[in-house]
Amino acid sequence: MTRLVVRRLLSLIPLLLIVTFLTFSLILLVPGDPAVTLAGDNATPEQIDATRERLGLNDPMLVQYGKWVGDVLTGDLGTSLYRNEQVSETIIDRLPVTLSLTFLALVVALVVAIPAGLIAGTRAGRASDKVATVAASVGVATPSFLLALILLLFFAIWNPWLPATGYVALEDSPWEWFRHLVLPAITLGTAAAAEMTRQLRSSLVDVLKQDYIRTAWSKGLASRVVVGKHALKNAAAPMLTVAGLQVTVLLGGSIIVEQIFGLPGLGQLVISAVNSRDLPMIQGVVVASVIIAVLANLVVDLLYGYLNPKVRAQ
Amino acid sequence: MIRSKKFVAAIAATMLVVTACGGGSDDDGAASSDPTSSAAEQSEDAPTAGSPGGTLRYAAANEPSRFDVHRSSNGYDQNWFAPVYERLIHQTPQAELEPGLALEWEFTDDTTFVMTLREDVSFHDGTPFNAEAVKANIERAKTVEGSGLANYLASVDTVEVLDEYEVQFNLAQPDATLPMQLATRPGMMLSPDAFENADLDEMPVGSGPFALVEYSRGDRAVYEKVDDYWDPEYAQVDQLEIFYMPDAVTRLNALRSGQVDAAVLEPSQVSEAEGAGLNVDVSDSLEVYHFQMDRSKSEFGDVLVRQALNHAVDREAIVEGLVFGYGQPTTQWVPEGSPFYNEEFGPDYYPYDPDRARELLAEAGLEDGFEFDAMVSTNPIYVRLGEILKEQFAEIGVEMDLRQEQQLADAFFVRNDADAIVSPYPGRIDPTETAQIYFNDESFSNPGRQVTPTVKDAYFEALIPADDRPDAVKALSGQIVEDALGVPMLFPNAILASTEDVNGLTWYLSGHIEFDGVTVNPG
Repeated sequence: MTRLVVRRLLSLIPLLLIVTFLTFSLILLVPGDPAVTLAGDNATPEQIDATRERLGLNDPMLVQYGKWVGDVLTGDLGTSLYRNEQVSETIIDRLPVTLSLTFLALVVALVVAIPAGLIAGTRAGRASDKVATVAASVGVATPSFLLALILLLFFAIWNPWLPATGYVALEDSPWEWFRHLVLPAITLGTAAAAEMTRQLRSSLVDVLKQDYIRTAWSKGLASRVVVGKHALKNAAAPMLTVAGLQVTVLLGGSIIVEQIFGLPGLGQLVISAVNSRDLPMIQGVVVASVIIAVLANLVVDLLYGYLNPKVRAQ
Repeated sequence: MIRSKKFVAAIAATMLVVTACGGGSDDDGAASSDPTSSAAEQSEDAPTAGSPGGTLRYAAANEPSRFDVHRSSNGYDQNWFAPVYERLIHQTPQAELEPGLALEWEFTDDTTFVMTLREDVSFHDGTPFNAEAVKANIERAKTVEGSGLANYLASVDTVEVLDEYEVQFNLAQPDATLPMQLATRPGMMLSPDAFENADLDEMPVGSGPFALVEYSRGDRAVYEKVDDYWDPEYAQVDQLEIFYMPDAVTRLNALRSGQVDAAVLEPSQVSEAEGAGLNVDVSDSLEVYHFQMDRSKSEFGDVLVRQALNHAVDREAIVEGLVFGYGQPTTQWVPEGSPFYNEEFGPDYYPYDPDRARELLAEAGLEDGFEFDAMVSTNPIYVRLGEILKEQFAEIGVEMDLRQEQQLADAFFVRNDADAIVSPYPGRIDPTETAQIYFNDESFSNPGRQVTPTVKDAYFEALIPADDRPDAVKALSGQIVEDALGVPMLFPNAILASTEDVNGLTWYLSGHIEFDGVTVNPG
C-alpha cells in the first residue's frame, strides 16, 4: 500500500509537468497580451513595451516556462501579474470554498445515489427501477444553471429560507457555512448523483446475475446479507471509480456554480485570471486542481484495497 | 420608479471650470460652510432620510484592478476607491466640480494651474496632507512602473510647492481638462508614507471618509467610517461593504434574498426588480455605445462613407430593442443638457435613412457597397448590438464580418486586428477629453492615428483655458459629428436597485457610485 501511495505521488511529477506545459502553451498561443491591460487604460506603445520587458513576456516560450518551473521547484508559485499578491496565498485563501463545495456536492451525490441505485438495481425492470432510471436521466441532462435558478426561486427568493449568495467560512460558523452551501452543493451534486445511480444500478444488475449470488440465495441467506454484503461490495468498485472521476467533473462544474451563487472560490479566480491572462495565477490553479484530482483518485484506489483483497496483495 | 432627469436640471455653470475656482469654503472647511454639498441635494430625492449608523452592502459588477491607485488600470475602480481615497476635487452626482482636498483652484495662465489645499487633514496612517504630498502623488502617478494614470497627467510637466498648502502645476501644453482629471483617479491622494508598502495593492492608505479594513479579492471589501473626516455628513453608515458579483442575475438574487441592500442591474431586469418591490433608480449616464472605425483602413478614410454609416443606423430601434427603452439615442458624444452640447447636432443630425446612405456611398464611388472586419467583446449585450448593426449595415449593401474577441482593446488598439469595433465608452463630460482619447493623432485608442484637420484644430482650441472656452468645446463637439469620426448610437441608462431601507443612493453622471450621505435603516 505504501508502494501504491509513493508510486501515485511520484506520478504527479510528470503529470504536473505535462499539464502545466500544455496550459502554458495554450495561453501563449491565444492572441492577446497582458502587458496591454497592465500598462493601463490609455498607455502609449512605449509604456506597453516597457511593461512587457519587465514581466519577461518578450522571452521565448520555453525560457518563460523554464523560469516558472525553476521557481516552483524552490516552492514559489510566483506572483500575480496584476497585483503584488502571492499566487500560493491567494489559492490557499480560495481553496476552502471550492473544496467545501466539492465535498458537499459529493456527499449529496452519494446520499442520493446509494439508496436510489440499490432500489433500482435490485428491482430491475420494475416500476421503481424505471422511476429511478428516468429520474437519473433527467438529472444528468439538467443543466446546472437551470437547476440553480429553480432552487434559488423556491428556497431563497419565494421562501427566504436559505441565502442566495455568498460564503461563510467553516471556522466562523459551521451552521452558516452549511446554509450557504446547501443550494450550490445540490446544484453541483445532482448530475453526479444521477451518474452514480446509473453506475450502481447497472453493476448491481450484473453482479446479481453471477453464480456466487445464486449460490448465496440457494444457501438461504437473507436478502440483506446477499445484497448488502456479497453484491454491494463487488458492485461498489465501479461506482467508486466513477466517484473518483466525478471529483474532477465537480471541480470543473464548480466554476459555473460559484458564479451563480457568488462564491469566492477557485472558479471565480480562474475565470478572472483567464480573462486577464494572468499566467502565474492560471498555472497555480491548474497545479492545485491536478493535485486534488490525483489525491482523490488515490483515495479511491486505497478504497479498492478495502473492497477487493486482490488489489491489496499487489 | 424614479426617473431622474439630471441633465436638464444639472451640470450647468460650475462645469465651466476653466477659469472658475472652487466654492468658497473657509479654511476650517466644515461642511456647514458648503451648502452645495451633494448630501444636501440628495436629501431632496429622499423624503424619508434614514438615521445614521448600520452597514450598507452594495453589489458591484466590476472588481478593482488593484488598490494602489496610481497603478489602477480600470476606470470603474473609482467606485471602490472613492470611500478611502479622497480626491483633490469632488464631483456632485451631476458632475459639477466642488472642493475636496483642494479648496480653490485656477489657471493663472494657459499653462499654470494653482491649487489652495485644505488644512488640518491627515491620511489614515497619520501622515499630514499638504502640498508636498500632492507633489509626491502626482510624481508617483506619472512615473511609477505600470502606472495606469500617467496618460491622464501627460500635460503636467512639473509640480511646484508654493507653500505648505499651495501647489502649482506647470504644464507642458495647455490642458483645460486638468481639473476634471483631478476629480477622478488622478486626483486621488495616497499617503506618501505608504508608497513603498508591500501590501498597497490590497490595503490602500488614503484620507477619505472611510478606511478599508478588510479586502478579499474576488469577494468583498469592508470599509469602516473614519471619525475625524472633515465632512461629517459624508459617511452616515458605520460600515460599508462592497461585494463583487460579476453576474447580473446573481446580483438581483442577492438583493431579493437580502444578502445586499443595493446593486447595479441591467435594463432587462427592471421589471423583475420592480415586481419584487425594490426601488429602481434609472439614471442618465455619460456612457456611449458606439461603432469605432480605424479610419486608416477599409473605406473609412472617406467622410462620405462614415456619414453613410451614420445614416444606416436606426438609433431609436436600437434603444428599444437593446436596452428596452432605457437609453437615449445620440449622434453626439455628450448628452443634451451638457454645457458642451452643440444644439446643431441633435439626435436627428443623421436620421435613419438607408436611401440617403446608399446615395452617399454612390457618391463615394461605392455603388456596390463594401466589406470589412469588425470585432466585439464577448459580453452578451454588445454582441447583440453588433448583430443589430450587421443587419442594418447590410441593408445599404455594406457587409460587416463580425467576430467576438475577449481582449478587445488589446486586439484593436495594439495589434490592429480588425477594421472596426462595436464597443462601450465610459464617457466624459467634456468632449475635449473624448477627443484626447479617440480623435487625436497621438492617442492610443485611435489605432490608425488618423484625424481630420478640422477636428485637430478645434481640439487645440478647446484645450486652452480661456473665458470663451465653452464655445470652443461646443465647436469641437459639433466638428466631431460633422466629420463623422465615429458612429455614436446611444447613452444607455444606469440601473440601480435598492431595498426600501436605503436612502440617498445615487448613480453619478460620471458613471460612478459614491456613498455620500447614504443611510440604511436597520432591519
